[in-house]
Amino acid sequence: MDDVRCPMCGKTNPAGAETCQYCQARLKPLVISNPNEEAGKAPIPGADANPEDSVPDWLRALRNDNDASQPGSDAEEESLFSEEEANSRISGTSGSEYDWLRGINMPGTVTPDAQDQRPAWEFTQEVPSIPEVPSQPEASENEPLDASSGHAQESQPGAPEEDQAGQFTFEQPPADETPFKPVEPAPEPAEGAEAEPDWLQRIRERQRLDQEEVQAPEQAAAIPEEPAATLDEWLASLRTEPKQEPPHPEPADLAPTEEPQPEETPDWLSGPSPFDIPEIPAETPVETIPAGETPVSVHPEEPELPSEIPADLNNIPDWLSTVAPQETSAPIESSTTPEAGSQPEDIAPAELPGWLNSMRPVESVTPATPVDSAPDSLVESAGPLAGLAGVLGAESEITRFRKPPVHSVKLQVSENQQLNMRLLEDILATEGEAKPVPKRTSLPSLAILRLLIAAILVFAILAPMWFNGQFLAMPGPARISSNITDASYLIGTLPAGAPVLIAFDYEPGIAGEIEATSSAMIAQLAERGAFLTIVSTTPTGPLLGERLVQNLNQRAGSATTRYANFGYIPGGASGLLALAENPRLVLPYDLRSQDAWNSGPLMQVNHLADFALVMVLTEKPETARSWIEQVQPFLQAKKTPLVLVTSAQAEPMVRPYYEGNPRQVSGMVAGLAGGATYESLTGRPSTARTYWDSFGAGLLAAEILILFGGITYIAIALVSPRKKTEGEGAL
Amino acid sequence: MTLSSLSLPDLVGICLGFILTIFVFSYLVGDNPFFRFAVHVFIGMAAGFAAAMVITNVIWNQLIALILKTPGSSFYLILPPMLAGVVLLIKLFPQVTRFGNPIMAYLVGAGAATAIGGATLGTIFPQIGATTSLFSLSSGQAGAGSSLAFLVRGGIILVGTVTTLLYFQFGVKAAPDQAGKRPEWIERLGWIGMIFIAITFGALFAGVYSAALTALIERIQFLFNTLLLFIR
Repeated sequence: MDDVRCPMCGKTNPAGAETCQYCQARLKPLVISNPNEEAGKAPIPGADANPEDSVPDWLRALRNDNDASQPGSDAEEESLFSEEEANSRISGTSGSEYDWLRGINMPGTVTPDAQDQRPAWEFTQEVPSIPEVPSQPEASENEPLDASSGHAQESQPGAPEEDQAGQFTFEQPPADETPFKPVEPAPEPAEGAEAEPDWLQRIRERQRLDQEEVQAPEQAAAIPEEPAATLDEWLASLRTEPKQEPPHPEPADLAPTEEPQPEETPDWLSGPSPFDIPEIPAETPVETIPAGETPVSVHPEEPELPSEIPADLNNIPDWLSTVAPQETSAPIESSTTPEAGSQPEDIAPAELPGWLNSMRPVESVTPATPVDSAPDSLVESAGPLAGLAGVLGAESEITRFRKPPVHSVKLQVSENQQLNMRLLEDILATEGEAKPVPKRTSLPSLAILRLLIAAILVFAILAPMWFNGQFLAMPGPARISSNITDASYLIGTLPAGAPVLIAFDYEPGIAGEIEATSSAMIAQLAERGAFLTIVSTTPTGPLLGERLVQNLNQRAGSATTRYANFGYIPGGASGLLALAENPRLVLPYDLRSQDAWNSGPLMQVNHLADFALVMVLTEKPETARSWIEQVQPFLQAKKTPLVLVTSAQAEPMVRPYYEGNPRQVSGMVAGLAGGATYESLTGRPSTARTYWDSFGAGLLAAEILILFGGITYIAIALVSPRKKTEGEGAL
Repeated sequence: MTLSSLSLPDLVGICLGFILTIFVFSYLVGDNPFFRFAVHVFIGMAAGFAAAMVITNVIWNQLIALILKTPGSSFYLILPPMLAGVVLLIKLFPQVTRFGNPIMAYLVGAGAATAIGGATLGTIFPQIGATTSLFSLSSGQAGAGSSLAFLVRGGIILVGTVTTLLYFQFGVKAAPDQAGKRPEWIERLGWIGMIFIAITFGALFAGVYSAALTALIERIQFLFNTLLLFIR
């Protein structure tokens, strides 16, 4: 089949399509074949090639009679009808023939009588107003309509016979749905009009009765009575024998009626049509509605109305004859999918008026590609979107309910996970079990070795004591370091009776070394008459100071040592700082709770720098550092020397303070060797001399043992090679 | 010295000292109750003596006696630290322990400030100056005719310091699919620094052994003299 061109956008569409693929315009308007075509005039575009086959006989006869009676008004009437058809197409509904008669009187509507010469584009939103059908007398309107009784209609010459279903119904749309203003009253028919035929009178009567049955107060309110009266008058002029009225359908329903063919055309209809309706190309198929048959619509299932019309409707104007019969009222069904491959009947193409043609979409803005509509797109048949395809279904998704999927809540455990779980359970089960402690096989050898080493050392230490000899010589002048010389110098140059501050900051466990190191120095101080001021930053320090003084007195044979024991200095480094700033405030009383500051040489001491010498005895580098950092800066005011007596283990950390420039420590004696050196330097043998032989022997024994152990370890390593771990390469 | 010349307290003290010393030496055969007893006695006595010293020498002499003997101006000087000390006692009770936090904060702050100030002014700055003067012949430390030795000594100190610091440099470059490794020159210099570290550890060990040996000599001599005292 040939392609069909869309009357709106001009695009080609498949022959069987009912709506345009591009603009969704209807391709097959619902129009009745134009009888002018048979008369030899210019056929309506899109009209069927052989419309005679589909036109009922009575309609054909009407057309022939009408053509013979009114040769000059066909074109306008056709154009008018086309305009009306176009209007109905625009509105989307093919209303009743009388609905559009009433409702097309839009603002600015131009009546045909006005002979309006306005251009076509002004009628874009205008619908040619058609005068209302003159209203019937009120008495006749209020008469109840008895359908069963029926009313005999005046027979009109040439009026068609009444058919069973053919009826003229005047469906007045509801007031709220009426988009148009009330139709102006139709002019009175001309006095010179010919008498109405019987069939027309019957039609009018039937219409009047229909109006009476339709009780719509809101319609009456929406539509002024005058326009209804006007319409009734108009219809009254066309009235034929009243017919039995079937039950009225819903106002929204499309009530198919049959258009009687008036024998005479009113003047307003006979006038020239103000609209220019261009011809629709012949490619557009137009559904030709045969006479007596209802046109095919989107509701093919709707019952067809009998299209019997009296054959003698010779006075029906052309425009009325071309009005499509009303469709039967049928309930609006759910959306149905148009069957693929359905071949709707051909419908004569509509002739677009000028104003409508101006609305025709331009090629450039029309979609170049057809609208991709789903092959199974639904055509809505209910609601305000009836007739449109591709819309959302009226049915909610909820109606297509289905049971939600059920997910398993069972824990999914893989085999690997189960294996790991069993392993973990075994480990936890064995956790509480008591395991036997493996025997230590290396204990006896280590114990013997330890005892052997201890015995060697004790023997080396005890032997000189046993033999009570001095086997090792004291350090000579070549081995005397500068720190010992300086300390000796400082102590040797002290004035007699000078106050000396001595800090006993060592633990009782190391007292043997410190006492052996410092005994000669303190003895020298005591010999020079220095006033010893004992302080300590440890709780046991004052007691050790007391012990030292007692030993000195015991050696001297008399308690000649002058001293003051001020006890413990709290606060650590903060206490030393406070002591350096104000010793009288920090240590107001001595251990005997006596005010020693105001007696003896301490009366002249107000600051730490007032002491002649400050000596610190300690085995910890931290304590020595605290004295140097906190106290030594305050001693620089009067260049009070600071002498350190430290243990051999603290000497490496404290020596930099002595060797720095400027020196922070004036003198330093470290360890038994330093004490022995000091004793050798000063010629005052003391405790260090007593320990020196044992000390030498012990050092010698230790050196031998270390050497022997190293050689043994190397020999074992050479004889039995073993794996080296990563940590053995480092120290 | 004979037993007759000793007083009873001295004799008891010597005997206790002898016994406790033997108890401590018993550790040679392993841990035993005698050693534990001696350790416990020492710890207890040290704690007790410390408590007694604090009470008599600090609380009484430096606080109470000061107020009693010198009232007036001394009282107002002592009152703030006295109240602070009382507030610190509140920290013994969990319900009101937070009230002692300000005093504790003051103590911690003052101690930290003292330590930091002393370390900066008393150690860091003087030691930096001392390090820079290692190669200064005019510093006065170099003796006559020993300039070369002074410079060599300074060089050794400098090399030892630098290589020792490089030994503790463990930064490595990230390499794909390879374990991190230090640069070669750091490895070599770090090996030299390891030698200096080993020498330093040796010196420290010698000092510790010397101190411990001296203490052992003193104890052994005590035991020897005590035995002689009782034997003779």
